[in-house]
Amino acid sequence: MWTEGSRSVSEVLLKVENLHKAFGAVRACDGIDLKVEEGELLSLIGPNGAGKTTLTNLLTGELQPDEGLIHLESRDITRMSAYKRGLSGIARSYQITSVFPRFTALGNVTLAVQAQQGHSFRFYKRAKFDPALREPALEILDEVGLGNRAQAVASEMAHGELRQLEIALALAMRPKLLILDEPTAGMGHEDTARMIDLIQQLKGTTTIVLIEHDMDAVFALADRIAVLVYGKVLACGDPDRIRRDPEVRKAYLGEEEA
Amino acid sequence: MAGLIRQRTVVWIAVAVAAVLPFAVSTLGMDYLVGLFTRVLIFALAGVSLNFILGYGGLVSFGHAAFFGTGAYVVGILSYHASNGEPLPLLAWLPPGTELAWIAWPLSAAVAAMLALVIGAICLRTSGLYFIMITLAFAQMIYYFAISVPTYGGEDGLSMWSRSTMWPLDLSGDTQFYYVVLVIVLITLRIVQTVVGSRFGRVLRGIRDNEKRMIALGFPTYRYKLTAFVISAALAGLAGALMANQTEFVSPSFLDWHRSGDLLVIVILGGIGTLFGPVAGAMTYILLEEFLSMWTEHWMIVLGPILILVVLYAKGGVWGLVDRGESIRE
Repeated sequence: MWTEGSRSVSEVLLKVENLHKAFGAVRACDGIDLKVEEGELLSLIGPNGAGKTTLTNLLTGELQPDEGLIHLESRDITRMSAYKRGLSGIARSYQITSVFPRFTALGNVTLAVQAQQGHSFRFYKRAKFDPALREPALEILDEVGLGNRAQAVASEMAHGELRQLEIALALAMRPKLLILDEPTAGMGHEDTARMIDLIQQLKGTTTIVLIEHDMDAVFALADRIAVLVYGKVLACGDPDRIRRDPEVRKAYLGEEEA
Repeated sequence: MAGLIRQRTVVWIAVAVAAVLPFAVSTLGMDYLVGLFTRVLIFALAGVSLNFILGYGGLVSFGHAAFFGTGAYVVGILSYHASNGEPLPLLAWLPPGTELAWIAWPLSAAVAAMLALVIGAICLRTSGLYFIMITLAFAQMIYYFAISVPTYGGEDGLSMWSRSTMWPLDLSGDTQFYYVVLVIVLITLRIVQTVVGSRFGRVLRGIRDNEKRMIALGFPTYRYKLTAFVISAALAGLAGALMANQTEFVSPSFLDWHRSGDLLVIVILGGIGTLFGPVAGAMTYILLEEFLSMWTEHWMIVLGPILILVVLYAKGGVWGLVDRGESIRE
């Protein structure tokens, strides 16, 4: 567990300052300040439309902010292109499963491994049986519990398996910062429990930003929680503080308990 | 595994038939068919080139005739200057044209590739429907450019004195030319198969499946798409060079959007995203066109419904009859 004391000496991995993004009149991100420290699991919660996914897209470079700064390890990455951020160690999973449907599970992860191994302007050698790609990919499939499904075609996999594959793709990027956008979305009880176990395993080895609606999961996993409402950080702190915060209860948690 | 054996069997039978075809038709006294099958092979090559970006890269280029026609014009123009001795425009310091295949054909591919580098650099900034329209627009620009240049025949086109010379072969005979084209098609298929299975090919297929995710994984997708676009155009240019030799004539109709449409039909009819699909597609399309048009000049009335049926009911196209999904697994 992270205490106040240990946090003060740990490194800040990601720093977001005054981030703004508007879609027409809708201010999806309205001046967000946020710090993510090395090794912690920060959970982002908030009602639908609070700007969680927009924030994710700004962090990964899929969207450009209107204003504000993003620093990764004290390096300004605000204008860095999305693919470079992927190579710099920002990985994400998608709320709506986004894999390569015509590739096998192994083929999917292999692509992510391949991205880590320099340019792919290699036209001759057959990639399918290249151990430099296969072996790391198989290891990661094992790690997420898909070891026995390596040869399954993604388009024929079950929803829960695809969610695991999502995580595998992100892990194969050897991320410094792993952003998980609702990893349990649409999952049954059993699959959700398995996913929470998996995240628990990753916790500590990887810095994680977890966006999640399942409050049990959030309070079980998070070192700190940031509450987003209408594109602003309403509160940020350890789970106990967030649970007690009257503002948060009114804006968000209260609705669920009622 | 059984699927792969079935596919291999069909391919080797097809290669064997193609190898003895000129003898077979001449025994039957139907030598004119050699020219027809040469056309099939040339369109197969053009289809393979389009399929490389369309089937493996998901890039719907509706302007592929631009590269096909450019390749044809390079051969036509070089041959024109070689026969009348006029220096090449802008390149007067060079020998005035050439009829040598070893020079003219690679040049066709190179010029088409350079054109694709420029067109692709712009078109690939867009995607989806916009990409379709902008590739069409560029192809039409080149079509109208060809029409408006009177030196090379404008709308009437340009007749060549003879086919390219390809020491030590003699291409003036249809049978020799047929074999040269056949060898080029087989080599190209082998190259495409290798590239598709390489790391580059995987990136290309990944982009087709999910470009957004590829970017998130750290792939600068634009430069991979552009490279594929240029490779594809080079092959289309080579196909154009062969077609110019087949007909000994080039005209703006080589650049026409109908031609781009033909190539799309060949790829879709044959089986999109499969190695041999475009070959099967070219065979089906050209032969249907040939035999239906003997029977009626309104052959499109018959071909149209066939196409619709294939698209609706045979998702893998003609080649899908042989390849029942094995090549879908990547």
